[in-house]
Amino acid sequence: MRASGWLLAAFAAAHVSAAAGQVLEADLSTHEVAITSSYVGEDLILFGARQGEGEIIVVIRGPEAALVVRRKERVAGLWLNRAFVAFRNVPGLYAIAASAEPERFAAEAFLVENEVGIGRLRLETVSGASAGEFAAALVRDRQREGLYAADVAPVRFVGEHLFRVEFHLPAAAPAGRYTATIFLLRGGNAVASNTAVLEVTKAGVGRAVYDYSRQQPTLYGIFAVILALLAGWLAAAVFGRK
Amino acid sequence: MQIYLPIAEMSVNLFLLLGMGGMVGLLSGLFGVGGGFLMTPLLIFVGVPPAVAVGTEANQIVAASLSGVIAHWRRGNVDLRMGGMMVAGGFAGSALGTLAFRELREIGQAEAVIAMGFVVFLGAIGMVMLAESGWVMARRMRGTGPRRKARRHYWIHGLPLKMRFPRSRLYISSLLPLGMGFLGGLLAAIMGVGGGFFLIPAMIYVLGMPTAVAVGTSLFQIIFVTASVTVLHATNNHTVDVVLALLLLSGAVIGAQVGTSVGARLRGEHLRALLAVLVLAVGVGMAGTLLLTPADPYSVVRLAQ
Repeated sequence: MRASGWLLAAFAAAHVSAAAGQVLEADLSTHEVAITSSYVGEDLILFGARQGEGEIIVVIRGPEAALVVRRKERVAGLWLNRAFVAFRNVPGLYAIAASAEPERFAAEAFLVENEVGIGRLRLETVSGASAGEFAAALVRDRQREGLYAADVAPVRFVGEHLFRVEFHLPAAAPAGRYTATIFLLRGGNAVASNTAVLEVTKAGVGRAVYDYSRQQPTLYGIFAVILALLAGWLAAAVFGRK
Repeated sequence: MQIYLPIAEMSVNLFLLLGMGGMVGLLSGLFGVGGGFLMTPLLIFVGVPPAVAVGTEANQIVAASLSGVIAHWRRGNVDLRMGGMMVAGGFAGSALGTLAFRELREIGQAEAVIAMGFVVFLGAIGMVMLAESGWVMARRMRGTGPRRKARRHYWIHGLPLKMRFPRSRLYISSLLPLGMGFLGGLLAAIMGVGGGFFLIPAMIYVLGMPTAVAVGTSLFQIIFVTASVTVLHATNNHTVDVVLALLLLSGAVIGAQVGTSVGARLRGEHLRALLAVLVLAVGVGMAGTLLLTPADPYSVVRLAQ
């Protein structure tokens, strides 16, 4: 396969630079993912090289967005949205990979600071108040969508220095900038880190439609009506002669 | 095969969409209704955000109504003056409806209001239709002929601003078509329906229009009202998915042809009884979303940037 050959070359490149004195090198198999009309998600590979001993932790985060979590309550027999909490800066995707269970080799302070592990994810509310159950519901919802991974993915070593992480970008992944931050830890703390960036963009017809609907919403609406009129007229012309 | 819907921002199976369009088209061909009152709930049931379902369905109804009205236009079944009055009311209703819809979305109650609207309207219409078709079937079994209905006088005939509608052979207050059009526009904006399912009975039984003219005129005014709803939703709420609308449309066009030829071989009251059961079923499904304990009472909504 083309991808594996490419990957091999990339591995070799990473290996060379690691040998050249960098402590930690990493990159993604692709830096751009296009959401086209047939987009159903994408498998990505992060690969890297470390020099010397140490454990690896990778934190992958998607573009941040403001979200509202609402809770339905029973009102006169009907389930209606009542209480709500607004969050800001909620990552659109969150995944962790590590060469072993992070709690075993990393200092708690490091894990908290870098938000390693879904329980340490800092979800800020707009009001500043703690969100409790609403934050838990938000994480639960993201997990259902496949956007937040509950488990720590494995970092696989290929020989002494090279490692790779496979992860899946789900169909629900929003467009925007994704970052993978890679840490090399010794004695519980990071001795080196590196960042790889991935841009997820809408492409093709879908992108044109989306952009137009945001930039020229009224013209887009008129265009939608004209298209519907043409389709309706065409249907009548084709099937109407009976 | 999955297809990504750019405005709904989700991947859906292409054949599911074509199939849904085909099924609703078949039913609309069979029963002579627009199908919006079935399609909007179906879209919500398969996971399309309710707001996108409403905006997109309005867009699809523009096409369905135009292809339906052409034959009626040729047969002279469109009362332009009546239709024009309804369109004027419909524009006002759709403007108010889209603004109200935006407010409802902001406070998180749009979904519940859509569901309540469907429960109330589908429930009422379904019951009336079921009762009426059951009544006709029972009478046919007893062998008595249909009772001739006399034109009755209601309070509505005392309303001011009377106007002549020669095509419908009526002399009634212009407030009636204006008001009905307004209500139609409101429903189109909030529920993503054309409104034919309640406008046609109202035009026949309340105004006293001939059935064929009521159907043709209703289709005619729905084109303009849903077009206005489409543009307003696109402008204010960004919830019109052209790709979704075109896919549903392609299925619906074919389904409608099949439905029309099958419908011609069935008896009117049987058709109406079937439609009534279907209408009630969708109403019950919608009621379920309000009454049943949700799997997760929490829901997440992305804020518009």
